[in-house]
Amino acid sequence: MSIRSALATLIPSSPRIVTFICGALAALVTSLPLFVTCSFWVMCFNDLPGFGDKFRRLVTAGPLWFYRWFAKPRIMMSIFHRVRLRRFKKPEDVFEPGCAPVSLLVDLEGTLTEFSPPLDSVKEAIKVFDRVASQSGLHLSHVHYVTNANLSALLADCPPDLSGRIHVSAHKPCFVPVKGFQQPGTVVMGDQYLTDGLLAWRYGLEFALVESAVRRPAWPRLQFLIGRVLSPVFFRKMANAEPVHGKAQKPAPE
Amino acid sequence: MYQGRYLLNDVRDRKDDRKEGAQKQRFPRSWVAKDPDEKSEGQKVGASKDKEYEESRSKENQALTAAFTSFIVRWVLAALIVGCLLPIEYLTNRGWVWHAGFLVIIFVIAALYEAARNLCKTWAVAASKESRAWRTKQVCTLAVILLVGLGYGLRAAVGVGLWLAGADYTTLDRMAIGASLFGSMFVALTWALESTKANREELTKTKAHLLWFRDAVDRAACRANKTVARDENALTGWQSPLAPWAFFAVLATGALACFTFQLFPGYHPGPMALISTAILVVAVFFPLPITFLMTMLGFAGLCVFFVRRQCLSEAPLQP
Repeated sequence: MSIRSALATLIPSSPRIVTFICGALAALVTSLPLFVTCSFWVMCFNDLPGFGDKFRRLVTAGPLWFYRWFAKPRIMMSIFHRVRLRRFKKPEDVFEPGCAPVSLLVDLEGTLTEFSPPLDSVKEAIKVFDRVASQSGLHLSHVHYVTNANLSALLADCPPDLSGRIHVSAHKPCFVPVKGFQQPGTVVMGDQYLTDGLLAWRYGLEFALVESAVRRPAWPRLQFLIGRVLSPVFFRKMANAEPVHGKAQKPAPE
Repeated sequence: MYQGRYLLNDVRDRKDDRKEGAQKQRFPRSWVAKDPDEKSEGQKVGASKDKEYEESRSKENQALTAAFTSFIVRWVLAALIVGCLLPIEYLTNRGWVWHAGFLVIIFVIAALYEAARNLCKTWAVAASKESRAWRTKQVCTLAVILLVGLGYGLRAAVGVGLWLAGADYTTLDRMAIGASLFGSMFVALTWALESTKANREELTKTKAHLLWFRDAVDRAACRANKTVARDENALTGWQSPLAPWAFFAVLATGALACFTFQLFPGYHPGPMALISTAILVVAVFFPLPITFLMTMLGFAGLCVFFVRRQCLSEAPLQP
């Protein structure tokens, strides 16, 4: 596999970025001796011992800083603490007996709708899901929709009952849910391990993975495959009948 | 395997690492507080000191055992990787011979390198005892730097060969040459700084191959009006084309440029690419701020060239 084809697989939608990165890499290879020479000329012997350590610290500092920032909401949890994962065939199955989430963060693209959906189909999907949630006894203020897609047009003519409940261009998994949604009992529902799943992992919430009914484009498909490989590190699978909080809920009075 | 080879080098140099002036805090010396060889047989230094020497000797033995165990484990792992992990075609088409050959070459290069270093030391000490100039200084040191660089070339060629399974021999050859020269330049710069840590007498006894570097550093420092000391950055001024790091930088830049153009079949380096490469080649002789500016200029020129060529071409990068 060449550099270009590897980059093109990673960033399929931006051939210009791939071209630029390839050009910069080729130029960097040729200029590398001079960059190294310049870095040595500003050093003296006393800077040299531990040069490898300094370089290693520099290289690891970035990922470490990112991890600390990313995992900051997991204040009381160990790095090895895995969150619960349930798999559902349809989004509505999250309300099946024994699950009963206290609040829900729901993904739109790929979960409730197809990819790059028209605005009307998004509104329709939200309406249907809100109805199911209400029928299951969940107050609508406890159901928020979070999508990474840029659906700002959706906010423009948003019905009053939806205002404040839709978060577009949310940058999951870095999205910060409102306070009430950071508590145990909240379920993050989505079709991607690396966005929805990691959001759940950051806040120690339960993750409901919905099998996408539509065929994913190449990039989301690759994301899903990578996420599936990494999932045992972050999630532990649960049987669907097991309740959200790990203990049996009281049966509702007849 | 290369870490194992470096480990052998550290074990071999452990006595030099303890000597005044050439001290280096690296394994196994970093484990041992006192030099166990300092005390000769039968010498009386007091009970507490005797205990310290005994402890140091036992710690050194532990360190050596750990080093050799690690070395053997690396060999076993390398053999398993070559025999079991590489694609089955390597086994059926005798590809494994190549990989086993690469492993052996590591130690062939290492043996030649150690021999060249030994020769440097022997001749330098002999010249110093007879109070005459060491006439073969440049040739010996050049051999050592070239041999050191070969290791970088070998690793780069194996890496590129494994990654780009269909890469032709010309690409691998150019990669190997470019990386070898780059490695020699990298080591030359490190040794140039290392040569400032001790005076000439100490260098002659411990690291004679640094003497030529010391001469070149002295000249560079003189041009920059700086003194040569371990806390002084003496290489910021004008550079001589004969300084070992400078001519290796020139050769490495040229070779890596050839390798990069090899990755873009059908691309003829136009005036922009040639001028940018020339700027990079010449930049090494100038004082630091100018060198840096010229490097950035050359880098930007090559970036523009490669990006524009890829935009114009329909089949861009095909290594």
